Amino acid sequence: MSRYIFEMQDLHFNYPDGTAALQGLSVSIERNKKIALLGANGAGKSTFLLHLIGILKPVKGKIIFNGQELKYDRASLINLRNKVGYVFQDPEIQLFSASVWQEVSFGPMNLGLTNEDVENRVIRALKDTDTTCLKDRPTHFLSYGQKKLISIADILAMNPDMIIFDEPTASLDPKYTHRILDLLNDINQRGVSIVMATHDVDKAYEWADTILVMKDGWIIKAGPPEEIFNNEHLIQNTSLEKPLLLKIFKELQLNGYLPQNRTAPRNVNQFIEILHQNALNKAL
Amino acid sequence: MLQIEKYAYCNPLRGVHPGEKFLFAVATMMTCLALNSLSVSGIVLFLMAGVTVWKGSIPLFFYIKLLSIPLFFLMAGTITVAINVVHNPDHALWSWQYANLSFGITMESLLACAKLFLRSIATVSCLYFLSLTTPLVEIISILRKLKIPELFLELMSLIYRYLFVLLEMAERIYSSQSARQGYSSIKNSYRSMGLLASSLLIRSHQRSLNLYMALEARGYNGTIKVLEQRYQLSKRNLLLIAITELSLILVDYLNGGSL
Repeated sequence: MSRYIFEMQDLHFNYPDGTAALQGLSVSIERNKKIALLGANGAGKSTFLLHLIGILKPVKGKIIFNGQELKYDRASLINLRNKVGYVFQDPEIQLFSASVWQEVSFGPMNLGLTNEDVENRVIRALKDTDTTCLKDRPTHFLSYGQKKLISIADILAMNPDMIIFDEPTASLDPKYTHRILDLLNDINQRGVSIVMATHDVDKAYEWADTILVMKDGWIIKAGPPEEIFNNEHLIQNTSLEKPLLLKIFKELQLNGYLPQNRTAPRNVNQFIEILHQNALNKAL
Repeated sequence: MLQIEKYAYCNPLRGVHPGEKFLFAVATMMTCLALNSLSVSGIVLFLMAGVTVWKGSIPLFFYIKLLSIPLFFLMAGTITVAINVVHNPDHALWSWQYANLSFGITMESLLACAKLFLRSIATVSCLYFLSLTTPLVEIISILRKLKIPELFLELMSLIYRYLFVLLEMAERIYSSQSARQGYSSIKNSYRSMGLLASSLLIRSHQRSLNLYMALEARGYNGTIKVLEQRYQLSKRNLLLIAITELSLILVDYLNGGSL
C-alpha cells in the first residue's frame, strides 16, 4: 500500500457565488499520522476537508486516494466514505436521530453489517467515547459536549481508516477539550489517520505529527510542528501565532537563561523538565 | 411539551417493552370505544390515570393539569349533544321555545352527553398513558413493526428531532432580538416576530442541506436505516393486559350494556 492515504494535485474549487475557495492546492497526507490543519477563517479549510470525502468535487486537479485516482460515481464515493469519516464542527448538523443508540447505529447499518455486528460496534463506540451512560437518553437533552462526543462515536462505529475533525474543540470547555484530544490520541494509536482543522496553535504544536498551513485556498507549508513554528517568515506571512511555550522558550534561550543547544519542548512537562535540568546543571 | 418529553424518557416504565405499553393503551382504548358504556369508560379513566400516576410516577397535579387541556374542547362538543330539538316539551327536563322549534335537554340526551364525555376523556387518558411512558422513538419503532410505510416513519423521526433544533434556534433568535429591544413595543414585536419567522425558515432550509451532507458523509443511500433497541417481552404483562380487557368486557356484559 502506498505511504500516502491521500495525494492532492493542483485542486481548484469555486463556490456558486464565485468565491475561489481552493486555488491550486497540492499536498500529500501520510498514513497513521496526526495532522493539524491551520489557517485563518476563510482560508478554505472546510472546503478542502469536504473534498476529502467527496462531498465537494474539484473543478480542476485530482485526488489520489489509496494510490488510485478518486472517481465520483456512487460505488467509489461509498467506498471512500466507508474508509474516511468526517466529524462536523457543529454536532447539531450531524445528529439526526432523537435516540443516541439509533444515531450511532446509522453509519454501521449503512456498511451492510449484520444487526449483531452493528450492535457490537455501537456498544464499542459508546464505550470508547465514554458515553455508554447516554445510550438511552434523547439527543435533545444532551449538553453540547455530550453531543460532540456522540458525533465522534457516530464515526468511530464505522471503523474508518481516517477521521477528519473540523474544529473538534471549538466552543468546548477546557475539560471537554482535554477529553477530546485524549480521545483523538487513542484513536490514532489504533492506526487511524487523523486530520484536525483548528485555530489553536498551542494545541496543534503539542499534539500534531504534521502541520499543514493553509492560506488563500492552498497549502503554503507542510511539515513537523518544530519546523513550522520556527519559520519566522511563514509566521509573519500568515495569521499564525507562535505557540506560547515556544515563544517563552526562545526568549529564555535568547537572553542566555537556557543553553542554545537544547531542542525546544513540545509540551509543558518537557519544558519543566528542561528548567529543572538547567537549574541542576547551574548548581553543580 | 418538553415536560411530557422528560417524563416519557425518565419514568419507571421506560424499561418495559414498548410493544406492551402500546398494546395496553390501544387495546383499552378500543374496548372503551367499542363498548360505549358509562361504567366501562369510568373504569378505564381511573385505571389509566392510576397506572400512569402510580406506576409511571407522574405527579398527580401535572397529570390533572394535562387532562384539563382537552376539557374545554370536550365541554364545547358535548354540551351541543345534550341540547336537542325536542318534539314533546313535556318530556324534557328543561326546554325553551324559539320560533316554531323547541329546544331542550332530555334524560336521554343528558345520558348520551355524559357517555360521550366520559368516553372521550377515558380515551385521552389511554393516549396520555402511552405518551407519558413511551418516548416517540419507541412508538415509531412499534409503527415500523406494524409495517407503516417507511417514508412516513422517516419523516416522523426527522420532524420530531428537528422540532427541538428549531425550537432552540427560535429561542436563541428571540433572546438576541429582545436583547436589542426587539419586543419593546407592539410595533417592534410584530416586526421582530416576522423577522424571526423568516430567518427560521431560511435557516431550516440551510439546516436541511447540511443534514443531507452529513448523512451522505456516513454512507446515506436513500433510506435511513437504524438499529432498534431490543426489549424483553414479558408474558406476565401480556396476561395482565388480556385480563384487564376481558374484565372490562365482563363488566359491560354484567351491566347488560345499558349503562
